[in-house]
Amino acid sequence: MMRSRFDEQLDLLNLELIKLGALCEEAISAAAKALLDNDAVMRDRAIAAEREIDQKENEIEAICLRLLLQQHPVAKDLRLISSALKMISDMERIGDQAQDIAEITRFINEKYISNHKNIADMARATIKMVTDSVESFVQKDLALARSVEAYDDVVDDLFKKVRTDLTRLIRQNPDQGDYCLDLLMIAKYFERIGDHAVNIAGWVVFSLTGRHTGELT
Amino acid sequence: MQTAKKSKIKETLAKTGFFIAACASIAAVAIICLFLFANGIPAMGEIGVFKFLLGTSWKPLNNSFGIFPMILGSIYVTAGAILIGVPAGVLCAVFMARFCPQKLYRVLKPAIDLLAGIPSIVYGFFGLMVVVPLMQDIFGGSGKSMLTASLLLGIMILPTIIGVTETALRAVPENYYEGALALGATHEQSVFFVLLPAAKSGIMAGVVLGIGRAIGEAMAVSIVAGNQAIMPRGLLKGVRTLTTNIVLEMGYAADLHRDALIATAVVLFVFILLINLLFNLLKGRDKS
Amino acid sequence: MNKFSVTDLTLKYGDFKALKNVSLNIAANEITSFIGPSGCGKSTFLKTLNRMNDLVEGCTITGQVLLDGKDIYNDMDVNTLRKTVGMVFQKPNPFPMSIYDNVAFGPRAHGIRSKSQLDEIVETSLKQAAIWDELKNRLKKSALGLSGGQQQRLCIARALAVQPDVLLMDEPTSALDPISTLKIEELALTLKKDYTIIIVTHNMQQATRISDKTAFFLMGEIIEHGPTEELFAMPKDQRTEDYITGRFG
Repeated sequence: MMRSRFDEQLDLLNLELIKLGALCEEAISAAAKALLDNDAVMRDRAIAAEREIDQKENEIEAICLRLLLQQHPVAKDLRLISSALKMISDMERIGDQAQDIAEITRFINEKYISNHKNIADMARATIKMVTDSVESFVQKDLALARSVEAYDDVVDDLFKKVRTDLTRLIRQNPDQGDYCLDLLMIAKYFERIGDHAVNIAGWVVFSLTGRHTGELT
Repeated sequence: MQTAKKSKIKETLAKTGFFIAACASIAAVAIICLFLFANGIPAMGEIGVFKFLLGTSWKPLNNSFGIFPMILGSIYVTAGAILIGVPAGVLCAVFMARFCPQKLYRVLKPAIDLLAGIPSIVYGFFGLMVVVPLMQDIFGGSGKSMLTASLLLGIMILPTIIGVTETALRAVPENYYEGALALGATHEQSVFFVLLPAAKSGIMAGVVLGIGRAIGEAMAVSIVAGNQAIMPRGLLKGVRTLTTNIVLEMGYAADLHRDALIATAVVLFVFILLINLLFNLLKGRDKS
Repeated sequence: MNKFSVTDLTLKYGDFKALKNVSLNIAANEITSFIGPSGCGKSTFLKTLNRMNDLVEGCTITGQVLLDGKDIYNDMDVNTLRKTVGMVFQKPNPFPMSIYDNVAFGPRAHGIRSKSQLDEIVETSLKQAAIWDELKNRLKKSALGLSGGQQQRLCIARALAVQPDVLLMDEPTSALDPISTLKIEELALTLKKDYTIIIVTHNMQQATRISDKTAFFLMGEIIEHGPTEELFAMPKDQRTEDYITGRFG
């Protein structure tokens, strides 16, 4: 088999991407727990995870650039590597968003968080989307990638629900204003994480078909 | 360890053997040189170097030993042989290398090689029986002349020239020929304007070899050249070459006469030396 | 109209089929590259376009090759064909003559004798090959004294001197250093405005850099051909993909 060294390096790339995906999942989980359980340890974990994600992103970027330099990839190899480069920047943003969520939880003192269910659902949904998008890249599963893109609607719906609830809450209890705004921001961040997961899935579609989602009939 | 020693002994033996063989070759040349120069140079001195080389009168009985007529004779006859042999030979080689159908080549090549092997006395005989009467018919006179000798020598050097030229042509890289054709040149244009010039050095080497053969030819020339030991008077008149000079008189020469003949051989030797130098010069230029 | 229109070309060396029913159209004023593993027939196909295959004993050809609509085997004199379709070889082969005589050889062979005309042709051709400035002061020196890259550009100038329409290039840079290679690639890109260029190459990066269309040969057949970017980004045939990604030699 020719180019075994190249194939080994591509396997390495896959492995590192899986690790980065796992870090993202961990970061989102920790941020969600920090919020829902008021868990300070988890908050710190989420913040630390962001740094690890940045570092991993740099490592993977270096792998990709080296592959481009040394191996002159064409066709599917080129699509794979260029998609990987784009995906990791989305994943790095996910790490930033998780950190932002964790930072906000410092200011939320309420033991009981009223819109607990919808936010919790958002956290679960986005973790699922990130996991599925990375999985679709590794398994070259076009259907899975498409399903991630579709699932974004679920997250958007949940966000609208959270927004409605919070608006009602502010009207009823104006002194809960800070809390509501913080929670709204957190919900927005989760929604953003969903968008980044959709981007990742979009790059998977590109690497498999050579076309961006919007171009496909 | 045993085998290493054995092979070292074998190698030394081989080296010594080759060295002896080389020495033998050098010794042979050295001895000839020695003989020639040891006897010839004093003779030249005795006769007087300029009187010998530039003297126009060769009358041994009168102690007159000027070989200039023979020098000229050799030069003219060789030049004539080249003028006749080179164009014919080169064109024949071009034909054989590039135009000759395979079937014809199978006959032609052995024929040319055979021509190279014919002894010069046979050439001489052929010259006497066929060429001389032909000359008599066309030009009158005895039929033995510079022209006859040149013609005969021209034929004799053909195999050399054809052989070397053909090899030189075949040695030209094929991509020159292809390059010429790819420009839209015809086969003939490619052969004559690219291949032939490219083989120039090889052809020159062949010509030099031809000169060497012609100038050293004695038997055949002596039969058809007329051999008058006087300054060459014309194309259709008789002439004597250096080689013929030696061949005709060495049987009965004595004392100074004999030494003068050896001195003639020395002059011939020097000529051949110069030709060889020229040959090496051409080869050297070819390599660069 | 296509510059070349090849239909069902089959070429045999004795019993061996080097090209099997190959059909291809080549557009004018473009660079088309032929890629494929060793022995796939791409050089053989190239040499068919200027009938250099005629030189090979035992070579038989069936099928049709049209140049500007004319059959190159039946409607055309072979020397005229080769004047119209020039060729540059893998190993630079300048004649052992002066630079001037090299470039002037083609025009002289086609009957141009006037010195002023030849002077002009030599200058124009050397300029077209982007090598005039380097050589203008040594036109009478032997071409064999030039470097490999210069010799190859000289060969290109020599080919251009007979004013062809097409330039066939058989791995023209495989024997050259990277800088000479790039110079010749630049040259090809400049020349394509006025000429149709077909280049056989083992270097796929070269094909992607300079060619508009690419044809992939394998075992005497064209597996796939089309715009270069498409072929290299999304090859249609798995064999093409395997070859260009280096998964087989």
